Amino acid sequence: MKHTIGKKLNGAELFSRFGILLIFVLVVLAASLASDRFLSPDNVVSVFTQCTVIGVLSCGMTMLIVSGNTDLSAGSGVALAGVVCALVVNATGSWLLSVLASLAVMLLTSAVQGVLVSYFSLVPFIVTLAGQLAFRGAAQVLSNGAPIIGVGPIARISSGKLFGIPWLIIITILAVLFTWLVMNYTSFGRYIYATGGNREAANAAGINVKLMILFAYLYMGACTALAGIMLAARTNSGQPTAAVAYEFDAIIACVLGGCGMAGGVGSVAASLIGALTIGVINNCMNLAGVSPYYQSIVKGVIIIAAVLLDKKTHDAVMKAS
Amino acid sequence: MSEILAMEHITKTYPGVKALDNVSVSFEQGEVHAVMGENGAGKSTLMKILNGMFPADSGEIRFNGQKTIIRSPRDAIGLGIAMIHQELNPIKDLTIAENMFVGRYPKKGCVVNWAEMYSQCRKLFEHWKVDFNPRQKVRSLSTAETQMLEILKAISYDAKLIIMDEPTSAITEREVQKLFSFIEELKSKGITIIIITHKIDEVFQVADRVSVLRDGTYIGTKPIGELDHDRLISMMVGREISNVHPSRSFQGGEAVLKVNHLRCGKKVKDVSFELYKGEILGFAGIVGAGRTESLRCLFGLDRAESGTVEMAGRQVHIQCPRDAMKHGIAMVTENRKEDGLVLCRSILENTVLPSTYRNSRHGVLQKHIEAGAAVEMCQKLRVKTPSYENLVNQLSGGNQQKVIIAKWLMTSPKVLILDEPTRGIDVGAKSEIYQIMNELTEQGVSIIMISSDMEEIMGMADRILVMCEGQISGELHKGEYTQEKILEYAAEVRK
Repeated sequence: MKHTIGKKLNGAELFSRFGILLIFVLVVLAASLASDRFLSPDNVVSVFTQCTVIGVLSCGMTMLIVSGNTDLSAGSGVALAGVVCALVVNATGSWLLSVLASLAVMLLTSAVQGVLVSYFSLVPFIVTLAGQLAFRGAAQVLSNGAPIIGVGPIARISSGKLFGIPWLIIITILAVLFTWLVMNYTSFGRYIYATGGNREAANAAGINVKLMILFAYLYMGACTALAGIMLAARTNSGQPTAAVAYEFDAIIACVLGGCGMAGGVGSVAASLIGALTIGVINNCMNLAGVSPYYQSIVKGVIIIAAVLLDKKTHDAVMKAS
Repeated sequence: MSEILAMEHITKTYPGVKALDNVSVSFEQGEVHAVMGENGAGKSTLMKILNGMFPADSGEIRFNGQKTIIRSPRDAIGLGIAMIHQELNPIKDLTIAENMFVGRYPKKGCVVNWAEMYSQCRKLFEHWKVDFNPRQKVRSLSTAETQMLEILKAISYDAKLIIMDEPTSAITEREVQKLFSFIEELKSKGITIIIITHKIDEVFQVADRVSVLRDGTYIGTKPIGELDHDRLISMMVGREISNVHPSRSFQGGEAVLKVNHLRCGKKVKDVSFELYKGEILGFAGIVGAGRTESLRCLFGLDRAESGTVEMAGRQVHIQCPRDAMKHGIAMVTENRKEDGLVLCRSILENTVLPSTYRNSRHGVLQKHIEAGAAVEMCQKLRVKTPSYENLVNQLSGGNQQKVIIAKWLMTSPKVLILDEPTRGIDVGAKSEIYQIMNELTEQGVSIIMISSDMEEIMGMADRILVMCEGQISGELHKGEYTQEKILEYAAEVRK
C-alpha cells in the first residue's frame, strides 16, 4: 500500500517544487562572481536582515494567494503598524502595549478587508487598493506626516542577537516555520488550499469558505503588524512614508516561489527563498551601484519573468499524465 | 456514396502514453458516422487532430481526395470541417446574430453593417426553418438552443463535415429528438456528421455507421445494421459485459429520511418524499425540473425557504453542507470540475477533504491515519492511478467520479445523494459505479440518484420520483417503469 503514496516527479513537477531553489543558487553564484564583497560575513548577514520584513510579509501573502486572494495594502499597512507602534511605545514606554496596539490595529483593518472580500464578494484587488490609500493616509494622520523618531525598547529587536544571530532573522524563521506548520498540518491549512483551488468544490465539501478567506486576511494582518514592528525596530522610528511597494516585493517572492495567482498552489518555504532571491538581486544591484530607477525596471522584468514561468510550469504540471 | 474524408495511419504519442496507434478510418459524404470507445480510447484525440487543435505525429489526412495538412481550427473551417464542442463557449452578452458572425462581421467601409448582418442571419434561419430571433441575447438560450446555434454557425461557414463531441450529454430527451431530426435534415443536404458519444441507444437511432476505438487502436467500422447493443459494447470494451445494471433485491426498510414541503426559490416549489433504508430512489424529469435544486437544498448548498427534514423520525435543521454531513448526508454534485474536485490538488487530498473535520484533533491533521483510510477507499473503488499523490486532474472522467464518491464514503454517510453519477463516463466505469451503489445499499446506505439517463434510472432505482416544474409529479414503483410513463409525468403540470 505504501508504494502508491510516494511518486516519481517528472521534470515540470520537479521544477515547480524545487525550481526556485535552483534559481536562488544560480543568483547567489552570479552575485558572488560579480562582487567579491558579496560573500563576506557582514554582507551575508545584511542581506538576510534586509529580507526579514519582506520574508514575514510573504508568510501572510502566501496564505492569501493560496486562498485565491491578494493584498495590495501590505506596504501601507507596514507603515501604519510602524507608526502605531512608535506612537504607543513613546506614550506608554511599554513595548508589550505597543506590539499589542499595532497587532490590534492591523487585525481590525484586515478584518474589514476580509469581510468586504468574503461576505460582500468585492474584488480583492479593489478592496486592498483602497486599503493601500487609506492606511497610508491613516499613518500620515497619526504621525502628522513626520517620522516619529525613536522606538525605545522595540529597537532591541533589531540590535539584539541570540547565539550571534540577529533577532530579526530568528523571528522571520519562526514566522515561516509557524506558517508552514499551519498550512501543512492543520485542517485550516488544508481548507485554505481547497478554497483557493476550487471554491465551489470546497463549499460543497462542507468548508465554510467565507470564514476561511476572512481568516486568511486576519493572518495577513498579523504578519503585516509584525513586519511593521520589525521595520520600526530596524529604522528606530515610525515612518509614515516607509515600506512603499513592499506588497509587490512580497507578491513577487510568492510568485517566484511557485504560488499560483489563481490560488490552491504554493508553499511558504519556497516563498521565503523567493524573498531571499529578490534580496540578493537588490543587494547585488546596490553593491554594483545600479541606480534605484534601474532597479525598479529590473524588478518589473522579474515579475513578468516569474509569472511567465509560473504559467508554463503550471500548464505542464496540469497536463502531465 | 463517395468518400469525403480519410485519416490514414494516424499516430499520436503523449509523454508516456500512445494516444493513437496507426489509426485509419474513412468517412463518406452525407453519412452520420458515430465514433465510439471508452474514455481514453483516443476518439477525442482523433477528432482534435482532424480539427487542427494539435498535429499528429505521423499519418495523413485526405479531404475530398486531396492530401491536406490541418494546422489550426481556422484551417479546418477553411476546408469545411467544423467541430461542435461538448462544452460550448458562446459570448453570452452578444446577440445571436453577433455570435453567428463574430470575427467576420459584414462591413460597409470600415464600420459594421448591422442591417446586413441581421438580414443574412434571418435568411439562414428561415432556410433551415429554425425559430430564433437574431437580436436575442445568447444568455437567454438553453444549452440545447446554444448548441443549435453552434451548428447553424458551422453551416454558415459552409461546413461539409461537422464533428459533434457528446452533443447529447447536457440536453434533455426531447431536445435530443429535436437535435436528431435536425441531423437528419443536414444529412439530406449532403453534410457529413461525425458524432462522438457514449450513449449506445442514440447511436442506433441516428448513426449510419459506427467506428470503434479501443486504447488508441482502431477496432473496426460497421454499418449499424450489422450491430446490436451487446456486440457494440463488446467491440468497445473488448469483453462481454453481460449485465450493465446488476440485479438488485431491495426488500424495503424503515424510513431514514423524510422531506416535507421543501421550498427554495423558483425551482423548488413543494417537494415532499421519503427515503427508506438500503433503497435507491431515482429522481427523473427533464433538465430544469428542479431535481438538482431540491437536493442541493436538502444538502444545505442552497438555503431552504420553508419545509422540514426528518431523519430517523427526528427533525433536523440543515443550513449548510456541514450540518447535512453531521447528520450523515453526503452529496456527489453534478459537475466534477465545477464543484466536485479541487483539480490542482492530489487525489489523496481530494479524497480526505470532506472528512478532514472528523479526522483531525483540535484542528491538527492526523495525516498517516487519513492517508491509510483514503488509499484503502480508493483501492476499494478501483481508482486507477500510478500514485495517489498525482493531481486529480490527471485522472480520466470515470476515475475522477470514483474519487468524488470515495471522498464522500470517507464520511460514512447514511444517505448518499448522487447527481448524474455516470454522466460522460464510459461503459466499464459505469458498471463499476453501479456495482459500488449496490454494495453500499447492501450495507444499509440509502441512495438518492438524479439521472437523465432513462435506461440507468429504470435499471438501478427501486422507486422513481418524477419531478416537473419544482414539484414531484409522479411516483413509480419497480415493475411499472416505462419510458412513456416517466415522460408523461415529466410533462404533467404543463397540460
